[in-house]
Amino acid sequence: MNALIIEPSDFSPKVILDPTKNIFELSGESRPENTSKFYLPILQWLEQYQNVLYWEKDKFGEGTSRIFEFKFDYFNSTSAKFIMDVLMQLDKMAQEGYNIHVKWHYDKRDEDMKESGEEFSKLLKKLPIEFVET
Amino acid sequence: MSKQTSEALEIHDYMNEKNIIMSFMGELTHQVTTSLLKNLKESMSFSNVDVVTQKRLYGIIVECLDNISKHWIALNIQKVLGRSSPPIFMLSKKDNFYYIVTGNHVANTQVDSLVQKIELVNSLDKKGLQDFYRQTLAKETPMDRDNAGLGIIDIALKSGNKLEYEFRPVTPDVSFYVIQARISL
Repeated sequence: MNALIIEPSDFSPKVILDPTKNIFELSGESRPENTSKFYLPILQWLEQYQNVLYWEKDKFGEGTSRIFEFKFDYFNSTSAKFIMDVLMQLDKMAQEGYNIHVKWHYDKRDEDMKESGEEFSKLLKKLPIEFVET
Repeated sequence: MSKQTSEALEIHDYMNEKNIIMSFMGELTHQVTTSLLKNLKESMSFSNVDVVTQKRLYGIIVECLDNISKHWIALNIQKVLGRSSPPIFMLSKKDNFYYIVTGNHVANTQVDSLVQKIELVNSLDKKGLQDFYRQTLAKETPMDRDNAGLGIIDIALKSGNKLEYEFRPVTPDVSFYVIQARISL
């Protein structure tokens, strides 16, 4: 499956979804002009990735660890809805037994970013979120 | 000195007197917003304001500017007023507070729901706001994502103070809506 790479801008995050290198990362600032236009390809990619994982389960096993790193400096409230969707999609995969977990990075001076991650995690069923202070 | 130059001086003096750091009147496209925010970020990075407050202030301003754009798109002001009347954004600092004020026209049919939303947010403490934020986040609104209503909760959470607002009737159909958030330094 092809990687999805989106370069960052002043108002949209950097996205790396690379299954070959096993790197999954969203980082930077998120307040795109058209939020759904920005996040839909990411959500579609994840849905497709879930299918790939299903078909390749025998080959790779469910045990391979996949870490999704969230390294946001800032996201606006419209983005929050879509970040929630991304986490929900990952949660679905975790519920199906894949070894997926999230690392939620936050600047140690930015308690609000940590709290945002905690609020998200309260809405998830199985996906583990590890908080990483930077 | 021409009338225009003396008016400019008057406005300049007035803005200085009122401690206005930044003010913008005009159509707030995403591009304009981005350039205002970039300026703000740079000037904040040289200030001695702590990082949390800087980030909260930044977040409030983004949500306020986003709100203006949504109202601007929702209402064809040229059509309803017969003239152009762009929105305004102002950032000022006084007595240990930053004040963020925005003003824009809204249809009178929207006034009640805006008042309800602000009053509800003003009635909640931090814990209540966090719960309300989470409930709103969990709600599925795929068709109307841009108006999920998270913005005003986010502003209240980041501000830590009650929001103040005013609706001034302009015509039987339109009012000018001013909202102010403040955050302590």
